[in-house]
Amino acid sequence: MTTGSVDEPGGPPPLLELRAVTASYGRIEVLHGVDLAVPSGKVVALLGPNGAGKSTTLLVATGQHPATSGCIHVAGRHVNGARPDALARAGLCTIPEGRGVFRNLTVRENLRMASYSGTHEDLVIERAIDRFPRLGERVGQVAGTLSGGEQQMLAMARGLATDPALLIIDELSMGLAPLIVSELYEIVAGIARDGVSILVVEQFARTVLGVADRAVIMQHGDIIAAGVPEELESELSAAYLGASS
Amino acid sequence: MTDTQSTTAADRLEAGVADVHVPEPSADSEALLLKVGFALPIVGVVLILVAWWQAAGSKFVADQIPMLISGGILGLALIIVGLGLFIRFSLARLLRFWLARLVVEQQAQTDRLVDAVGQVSGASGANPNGVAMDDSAQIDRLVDALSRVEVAIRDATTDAPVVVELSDPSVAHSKEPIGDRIRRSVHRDRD
Repeated sequence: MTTGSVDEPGGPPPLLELRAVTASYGRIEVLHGVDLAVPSGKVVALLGPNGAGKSTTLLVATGQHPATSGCIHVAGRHVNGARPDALARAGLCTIPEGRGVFRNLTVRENLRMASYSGTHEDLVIERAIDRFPRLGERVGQVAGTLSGGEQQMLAMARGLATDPALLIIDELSMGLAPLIVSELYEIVAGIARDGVSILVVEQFARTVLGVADRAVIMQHGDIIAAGVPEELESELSAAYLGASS
Repeated sequence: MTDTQSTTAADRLEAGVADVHVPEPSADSEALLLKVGFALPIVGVVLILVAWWQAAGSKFVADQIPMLISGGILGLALIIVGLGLFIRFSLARLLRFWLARLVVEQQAQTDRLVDAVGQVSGASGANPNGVAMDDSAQIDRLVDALSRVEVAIRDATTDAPVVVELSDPSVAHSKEPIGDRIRRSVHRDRD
C-alpha cells in the first residue's frame, strides 16, 4: 500500500502526521485510510484531480472535519477531536480555498484581524509589507477590489502574521493566472526557507512540484503515490488522465 | 532553511500543541455520568424530604397522595437511578485501576524471572576464565541458581511455563528437567 508518510527512525516526529485516517460525509466515506506526513521544515504537495479528497484531508488535519477513524498527530501529539481554533493557536495555520479574506474590509483591517492572535497590529502590517510589498501600496483599499493574486497574498500575509510553524494552503492557484501562480510559489519557497513547514494542496501540479520537497498524489480518497517530485511523473499522468495505477 | 530555524518552528508547535485540549469522549462522558450518579440521589433525598414536609402539613389524605407520588416516588426513582450510575462507573474505574495494576505487577514479575533465568544461564556456563570447573563446583552453582529460580517462581505465582536456557553445552540441549539433571550429577559426584 502506498503511503504518504515518511518514516525516519530516531528522527524528530513529523510536524503533521495522519495515520490510516478515514472520513465521511454522512454515510459516504471519502477518505479511505490516508497516511500522510509533513516533516519539519519541508514543503509537501498534496496533489490529485478534483474530488480526490485533498481538501477533506486538510479539513480533517486541521480539525475542521472529524476523522471517522485513524490518528492525527501534530508534533507527535495525538490531536483527534481537538478544536480547530486551538490547533491554530498552537501554530497550525490554514489558508482556505477561496482565500477567506474579508471582502468588505480594507487590507489594513484584514491584517488587524490577525493581530487578535496576540501579535501587535503594527508588527503584523510590517511583516506583511516586508513579504508582500504590493500590499503596502494597497493598505487602505477594500480587499474585495484587489486582484485574485493580491487577495491570495493578503490571505497568506494574514496567516503568516500568527507566526505559524506549519502552514496549510488549499488551492493556492485557484482562479489565478499562471504568471501570478509562479510568483506566489516563489513566495511560498521563501516562507519555507524561513523554517515554516508547508502542506500545499494543489490541483495543478506542475508549478508546485518546483518548490515541493515531497509530493503525495491522491485519487478517490486514497494515496496512490508518494515520493520526491521527480519520481512521480508517471503517477501524476495516471491520476489526472484516469489511467489505472 | 537552517536546522535551527526548523527546530525552532517544531519546538514552537510542540509547545503550543501540548496545551491543546484533546477531548476523550468515553472518559469525558464517564466522568459526567459519575457526577450525575453522585448528584441524583441527593436530589432524590431532597425531593422525598420536601414531599414528607408538605404531606405532614396537610390533614387530608387526598392532598397527601399527589405529594407522595410527585415527591416520594420520583425521589426514590432518582435515588435508584443515581446509585445505579454511581456504582456502575465507580466499579468500572476501580476495575480499570485493578487491571492496570495487575498488568504492571505481572510485568515486574516477568522481569524478575528473566533476571533469574539470566543468572542461571551465567551460572551453568563455563567460568569466565575459561578454566573447566569440576563437577561439584558446577553442581553447587547450579543448585544455588535453581534455588533462586524457585524463589522467583514462587514470587511470580504465575501459570506460565518457565523455560531455563543453559549455556553449558553439556546440559544446554538436554530435554531432561533441570532438577533431574542436578540430581543425577549429585549422584554421580557421590559415586
